[in-house]
Amino acid sequence: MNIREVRSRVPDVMAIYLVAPTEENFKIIENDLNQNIFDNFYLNFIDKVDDYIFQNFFSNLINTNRYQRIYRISVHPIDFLMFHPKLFTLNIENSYQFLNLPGIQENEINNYYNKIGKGLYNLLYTLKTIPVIKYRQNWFAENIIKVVQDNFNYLFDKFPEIKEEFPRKNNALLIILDRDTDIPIMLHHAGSLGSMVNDLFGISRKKNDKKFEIDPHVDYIWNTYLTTDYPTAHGKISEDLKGIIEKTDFLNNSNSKSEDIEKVSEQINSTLDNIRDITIRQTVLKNHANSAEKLSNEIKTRFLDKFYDLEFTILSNRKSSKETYKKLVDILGLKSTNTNYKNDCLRLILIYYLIQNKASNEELNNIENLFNEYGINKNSFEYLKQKKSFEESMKKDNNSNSINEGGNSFFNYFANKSKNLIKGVSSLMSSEQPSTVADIVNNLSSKKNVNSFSSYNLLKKSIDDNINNNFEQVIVFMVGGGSLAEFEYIDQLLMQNHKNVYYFI
Amino acid sequence: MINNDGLESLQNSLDILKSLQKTINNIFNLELTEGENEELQSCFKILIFDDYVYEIICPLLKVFKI
Repeated sequence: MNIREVRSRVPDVMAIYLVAPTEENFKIIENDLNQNIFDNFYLNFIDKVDDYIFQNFFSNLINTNRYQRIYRISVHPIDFLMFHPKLFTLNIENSYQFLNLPGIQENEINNYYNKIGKGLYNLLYTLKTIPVIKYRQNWFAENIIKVVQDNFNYLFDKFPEIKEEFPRKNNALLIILDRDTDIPIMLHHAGSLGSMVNDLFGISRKKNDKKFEIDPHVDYIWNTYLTTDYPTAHGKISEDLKGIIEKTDFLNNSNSKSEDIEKVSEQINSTLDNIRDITIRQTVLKNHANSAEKLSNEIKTRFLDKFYDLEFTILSNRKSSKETYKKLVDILGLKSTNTNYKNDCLRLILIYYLIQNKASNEELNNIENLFNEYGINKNSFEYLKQKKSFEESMKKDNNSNSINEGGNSFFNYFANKSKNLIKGVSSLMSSEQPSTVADIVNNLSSKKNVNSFSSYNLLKKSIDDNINNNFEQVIVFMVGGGSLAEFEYIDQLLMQNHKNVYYFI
Repeated sequence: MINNDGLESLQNSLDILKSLQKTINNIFNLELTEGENEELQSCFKILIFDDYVYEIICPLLKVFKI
């Protein structure tokens, strides 16, 4: 029953609440208690409850005897959403936009880090793993790590027996990276089943008319082919559909000869035995077949294969050339009538712009002309141009040592962010492939050293740069948001090296 | 019900599902260890959740037929 549903008294029943620990939910529970709706109340929360919420709740109940109806209060840290056994979300929308708001306050950023820290702790608790954490030095990842560490400290202090459920060694690696490490990948039209479905329709765990509904518990196509290139995944869907049709085709075949009756009977029995699996498989395949039809249409009318090819080349080479510029102009000249096409063009131009360390005046003029000539809104380009210019000025300040480490911390937030960004991307890439983050994650999870990264040991509760294991389980969190395109490249690269990766979008 | 292919593809990452399953089962079994709560164990129970929790647990509710 949904907590918002209106209800009247139900005697001899225990109500098991499993809800987020919000003030609103506590108010409803208090109301249910006051109205004697149930005989017993078992309260379960999906995240740690803030002290002030508990205080308010009990101060209202303490003068009545109603609190005696509360059987138990438990916290189960499951406050994260699973889109795939390796893919999660903390359900924080527009986080990159939020972090880059001009008027953002320091306490808002801290609240954001607090939410991330709690979310990461929830996943680690659920996975029953205490990882080594690697992060860029002199960056605000320490704030997130502190929240994770505090939550583990609280857990083991209050419930020391739970420690037995965790391994005594750090067998996993958690990597926390800043979204500014690689922005262009967020604009990329990637080619895997998951990226394309998410890019074109969006994904949801609930029934939604527009978005693609994800059910990671039964959708074997999604679970198996999420990061597989779309043509291969499409082939698998067609193959499986044919298989299902062949399996049940005999039911429609009324021309069976009498000598085949025994065989048909056997087939019917076998089909009946597996009817539940067949029904689930059919539903999954039907869902994917429907989306495949729409996807194919979008690919065709928006020339998405051409966008993918060129973007892949630009991202892999990490530089532009006259040839790539010419190809870009060719794609813009295709002039599709699909309403999303202009947005596709915008994404391609921005990738082309962002990939250049420093665009010359001529190149900038060329890019500006493209916006004007093809009637594409250039607000996002202007924003990125300003951001780049701001970062350049920070770089100059940094070189002249004008960043005061002990000064205003809010100013330092941006200063440190930019300082790391500038020296970041190009110096960290060690192989030619489209995702910088995939490359960094691959190096950090192997025994390779990566400059300017620190290791924090949650078991020792301190920085521990001597740890350089060959981790098999890797969790990646991007502060500012992730993308399925990025996950696709990380997963493909780490699979080659027999590593299992968990990722947050 | 998870079909064979789905189960196979999930094998490597089942830790999370198992842990979530354990959480839900524990909640419903009231994590009982002592006899004095047997009456509560056998009484009717109703699960109350909010929209966000529904999103987290709805597939599990389907799988475990709760």
